[in-house]
Amino acid sequence: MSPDASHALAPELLATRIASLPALPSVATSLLRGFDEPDADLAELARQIAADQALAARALRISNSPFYGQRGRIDSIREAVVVLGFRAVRSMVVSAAVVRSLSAVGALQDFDGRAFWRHGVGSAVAARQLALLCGHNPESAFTAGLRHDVGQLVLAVTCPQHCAAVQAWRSAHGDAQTAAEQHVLGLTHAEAGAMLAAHWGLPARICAAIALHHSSLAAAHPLAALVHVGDVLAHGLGLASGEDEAVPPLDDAVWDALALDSAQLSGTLGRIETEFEDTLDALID
Amino acid sequence: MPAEDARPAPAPPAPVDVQAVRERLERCFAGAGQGRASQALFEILLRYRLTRHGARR
Repeated sequence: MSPDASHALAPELLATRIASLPALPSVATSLLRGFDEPDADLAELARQIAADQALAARALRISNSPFYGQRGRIDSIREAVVVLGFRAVRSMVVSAAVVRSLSAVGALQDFDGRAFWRHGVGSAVAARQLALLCGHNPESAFTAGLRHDVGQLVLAVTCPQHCAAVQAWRSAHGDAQTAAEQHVLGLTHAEAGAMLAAHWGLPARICAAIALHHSSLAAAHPLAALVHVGDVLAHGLGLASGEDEAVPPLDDAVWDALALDSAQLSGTLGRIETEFEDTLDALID
Repeated sequence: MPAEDARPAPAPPAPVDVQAVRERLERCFAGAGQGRASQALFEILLRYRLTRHGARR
């Protein structure tokens, strides 16, 4: 479907505007650079994290949240790395950094920031629990899940008039968000989010997970598949705004690719809700 | 007689309105299509909501 010519959004224009958004804190960039390095210098990375006091404080708050069962027992980044593992601490720090950078854009007209973050955390927690069921890396799933819809914020910040046109189209035609974006803008929030992720230097598989989270192609990318199902599950549980949330389509091929056991998934839903509340309190002000 | 014994017995729980819970979830899934995966998730969430509402009665 060709976009509505009056509000079509050229990728080059969007890329220019993305370049003006707040950067990630340097410590997050360092952590992401070593995302897939098994022999990273943990002591050096712990030192870098500790040097950014606001991020370190947030990471400790998450480390001491009920989910990790360490209530108040962890009082340094070094200790958090030893007790919880480097991947978990890195996920916390990078997540806190993303929240901080994106929160810096301030309140936006016609954009529900509270629901945005609640859905991000809900999808992150759901993706992490799904990863545990499927034998994938839970912290990568959390990291990707938290920012999968970052493109919605990108569009709201950089192109508010285009977003208003998308919402008007939805109201008039009843289309789902992604379909309306494709029709009006010629691109979707998934593509916009992937552009920001690439600009920030996030790992390629996280960029792919963001880009593909509404696509059947996610079936070939385990991280994207976890985010796709985690996203739908978070809506189904009403984690952003309650039990009346609209649930987007769940792709058959992606669902099959994860080969989830229905009984196990059912048993996980309560844990997702509990972990969601704990994580939300620790991560979002 | 101790004060506890004087309290009235709690009212019996109201039954869960299964049809109302189903219809509310159907409205959420109105845009989810008729795919096999969406249907499977619908059934999982319906059972979960019924259990959760039952537990909250």
